[in-house]
Amino acid sequence: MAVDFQKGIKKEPSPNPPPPLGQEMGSLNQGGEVILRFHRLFKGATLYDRNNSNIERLAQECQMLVNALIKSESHVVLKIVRDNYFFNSIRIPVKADKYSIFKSFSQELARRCIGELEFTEEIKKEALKDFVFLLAKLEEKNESNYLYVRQQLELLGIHKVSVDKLEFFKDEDLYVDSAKQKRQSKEVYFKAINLVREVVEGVKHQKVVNVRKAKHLMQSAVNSIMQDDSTLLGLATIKNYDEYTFNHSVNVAIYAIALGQRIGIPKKHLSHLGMAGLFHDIGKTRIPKEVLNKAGNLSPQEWGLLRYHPVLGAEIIIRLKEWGELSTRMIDATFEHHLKYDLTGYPKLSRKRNVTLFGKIITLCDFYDALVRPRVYRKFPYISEKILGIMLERSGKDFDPALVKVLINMIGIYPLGTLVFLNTDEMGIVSQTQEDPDLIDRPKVCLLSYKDGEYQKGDVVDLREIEEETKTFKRSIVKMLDPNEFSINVAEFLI
Amino acid sequence: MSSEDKGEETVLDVSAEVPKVEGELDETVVQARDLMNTLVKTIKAHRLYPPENPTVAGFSNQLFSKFHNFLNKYHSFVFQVGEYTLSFKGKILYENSDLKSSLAFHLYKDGLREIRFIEGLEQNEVQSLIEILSQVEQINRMEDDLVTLMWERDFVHMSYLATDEFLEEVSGIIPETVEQFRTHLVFEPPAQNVAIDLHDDHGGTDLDFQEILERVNIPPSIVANRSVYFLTPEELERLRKEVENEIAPTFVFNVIDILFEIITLEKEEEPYQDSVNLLQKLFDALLTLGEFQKASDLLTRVNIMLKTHELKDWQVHSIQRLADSAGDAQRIERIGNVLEKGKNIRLEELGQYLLLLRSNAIQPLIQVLGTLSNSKARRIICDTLCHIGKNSIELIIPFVDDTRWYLVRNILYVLGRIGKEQAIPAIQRAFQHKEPRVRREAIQALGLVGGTKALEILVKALSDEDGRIRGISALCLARVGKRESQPYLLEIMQSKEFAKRDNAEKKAFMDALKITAPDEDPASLQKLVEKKPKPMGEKKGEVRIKAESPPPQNQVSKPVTHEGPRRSSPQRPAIQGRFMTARRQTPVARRGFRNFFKKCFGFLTR
Repeated sequence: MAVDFQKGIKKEPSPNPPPPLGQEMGSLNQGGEVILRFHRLFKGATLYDRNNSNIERLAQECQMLVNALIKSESHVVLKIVRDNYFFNSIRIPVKADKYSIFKSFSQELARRCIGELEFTEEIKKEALKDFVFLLAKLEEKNESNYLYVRQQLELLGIHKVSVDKLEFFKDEDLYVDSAKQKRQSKEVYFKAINLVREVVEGVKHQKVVNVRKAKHLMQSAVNSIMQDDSTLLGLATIKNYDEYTFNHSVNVAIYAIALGQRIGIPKKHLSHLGMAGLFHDIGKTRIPKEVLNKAGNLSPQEWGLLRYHPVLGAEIIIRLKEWGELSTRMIDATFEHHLKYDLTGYPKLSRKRNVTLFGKIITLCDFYDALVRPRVYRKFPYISEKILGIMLERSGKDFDPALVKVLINMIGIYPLGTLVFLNTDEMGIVSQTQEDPDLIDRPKVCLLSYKDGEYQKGDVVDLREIEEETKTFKRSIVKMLDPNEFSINVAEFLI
Repeated sequence: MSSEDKGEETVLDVSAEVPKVEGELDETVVQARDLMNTLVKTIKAHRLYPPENPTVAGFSNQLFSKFHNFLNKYHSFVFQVGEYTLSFKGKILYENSDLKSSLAFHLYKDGLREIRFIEGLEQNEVQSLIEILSQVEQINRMEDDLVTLMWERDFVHMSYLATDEFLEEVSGIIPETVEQFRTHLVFEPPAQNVAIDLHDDHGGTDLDFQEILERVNIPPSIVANRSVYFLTPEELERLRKEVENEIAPTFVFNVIDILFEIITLEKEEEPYQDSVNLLQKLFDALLTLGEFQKASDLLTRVNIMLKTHELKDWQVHSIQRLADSAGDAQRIERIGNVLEKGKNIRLEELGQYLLLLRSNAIQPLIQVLGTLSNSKARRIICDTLCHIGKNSIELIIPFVDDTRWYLVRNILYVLGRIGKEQAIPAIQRAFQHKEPRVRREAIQALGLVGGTKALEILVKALSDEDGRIRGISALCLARVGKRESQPYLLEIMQSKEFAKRDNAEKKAFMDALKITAPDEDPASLQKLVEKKPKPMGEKKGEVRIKAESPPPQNQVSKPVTHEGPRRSSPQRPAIQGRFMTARRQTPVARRGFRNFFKKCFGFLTR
């Protein structure tokens, strides 16, 4: 049973059970399937007790798969080395629709310092449940967890299942706690705004621009997003810090990197994508101020000039950067970010061609961020359902429809930063989407309480949580709210 | 050990940089030192030798094997980076304070402080690391550093610890509190430029945004409608392919399209020239990589622009220079290098590309032709020369006097194919060449050029000392002179000496005779040959003398075909008229001609 977008009717957890074994095997590799089913069972174990009917079903699905693989492969070893999965020593590629699940599962295991799961014999369902509940309840950041699990398995008489520790060095990213990660993300975000200012000033005064610095910053942004994209995506709800154009450029870079990683763009190219986002509007530095800053209506000539900024931007990049992979992508994205998917945008082309992937990503992110920006009559950004409506309406015309779907998966159908009203009469801000698309309507929400004349940050609640007695969700979103009606600047709660 | 090996040992000696560690050592340190020693040697080998050198591969394999053994035994290998030293467990494994050559200093300077390897390290990871470390001196410091290069490789079994001075340098306040954050917020109405996209279709002011929102159709339930956010397998596959294309190294050439758009739109000289300069770089890179299809597209677009666009003088000058650059020596030489080294060159694409070149490419192409060992590529260059050189044979002719016989032979082939009488003196000169293969080619060229002068030389060549040349000459003569050449052929075929000649030559003459009388059956031709020859007593050389004057009336007037009126006296003007149609021969005759050539020579081989 589905939840109505407006009314928020309660529904049974996990509305779309995974297809039976074999159905997905054609399109997904075995390793990917193991991760998927293990992740579902593991997540279930963190939410439900072991007698819950969902756990029964998830355990059975997982058991069937593991035993089938034991028969065909004789053993099942799932190993995690940094963000990479190896199934029986073969690295598993990540697909766009499974990205979040892969990411989430590796992070859950990394937090528990577990880097390897191994099955050498068929396993019974109850033993599998024991094993998964054991993992789910492990203490975080305890490097001896693997020894504890082994010992417990021994005591339980489960001999052909084992775990190993996660290989890492203490100061590596995976060890960074969320507070530190948040601080780093914040540093990256605000430094990026300053850097864009620095570069824009440099370009205006025809100074030599050091690209290395921007590259380093984007590498940090990629690191941060790869660890947990919710912090930087949360920061991207800031729309009017310092100067709109700089703030906007940084947001575009962040959305682009986050979207790019979901479709499997490698790290190096993600930083290029970030650079492309950061400087996609650089052409505007060549537009006269009086046109650029004009608050009133622009004349057709002025629009014409403004619409030339993608060409000017590409020309600046040509000058700025030595030709190579990075400059190519920056030129592509700068030139193409108003072309539109069906090429009806600008500049008008003399020869038909497809917009590049980077161009399409920047177009989409540029539009989304511009859409949510504050307006004359609205001081604070307002993410209403109509925002997604506009995106969907233009999907296939202005935007690549597949990328629109990836964006919705990323920001959620209640996008990050949305002010929402819950069926518990509580108000909150969407702070994190769920990795499982089946739970796209059940994000994490930061509750707000009204105290001392202003709204204050409360607990973060997970809308997947179930009321044990009624077996229904504890909280559901009823509707989206306009922060301006409550004088709430959502960004303040996400920085 | 061979002296070569000893030399190599000296060059790659790293004993000064990887000193012996003093004091009591545990086994790990000894093995770590050995590993470091191999690492430094491998980097040196990569700097000194080209990648295909076996020494490089040898060291790389040795290094991987040592890493593998070490990590299997100890699970990880971590070394610390000092300003001039690399240390392991507090022991210095490497030390070099020379700023130019010190590996430690290069790593330290770019912020690296520790490098770690863990079990499972793959050979390609080791290879990538070596590639990075052996190129430290070539890094463009405005854009890259070692940290960036290592970060970009996204190693799985290797990591590093680095300081980041750049990020420290970025100025500006990072708001710590909400109050600080609020002080930086701006609430001025944003300018029109930021709303540009929304106004594309609606054209108006910011207020229209509200109207746009009003008009938006929201799907009744986004959650219920999973198709809104669920990716289909086809979409996933398309995205995967797009990512694959985007990250492919050749993707960088996609920017060519944009550069053409820019030069179509741009009206200012400076940015226009910047784009053309970049196009030039891309063009050069395409040639270096042997991407001839893309190079053809680029050059064709430039040519179209020059022909069809309304351009200002400076624009014409700018892109004309790009078009001309295609034919300069430097770029043609690039092509030569690619052809000599490249294994997977698509020659058809090369052929198409070369046909776009202009006459300035002729001489550089001939230079490349003289150095190429790839016979197929040589043929393509010859074909190109035939095409682009047809109105500039004066640029080709000087190479007839080149000292390399094989090049002269190719030039003769080209001149023949072009078929201009202007080349005959040069071809005649080549006919004196000591190399029979050149002389044969000269004959063939004459056969293709045709004309009175060519005929005269061909008649002379019927008495060449080389039997194969006589054979070819007969065929060429027949082709050029048709029926009019019959008396010259018969004169020789009826001589006593001819009977003693080898079968290939006899066959060639017979085939030539067939060409002169295509409708005659073999028996009639045989009868013609066996007819009593002219009174004996002619000495060697007489044929030549006779050839220069018109052939005897009675011979030419003999009926050799059953059709049409007999030709009257083969006076020179009449012969000349026939020469003009020399190339119009029957397929059978052409086949005979080709077969004879095939038997005698491999085409265009040295």
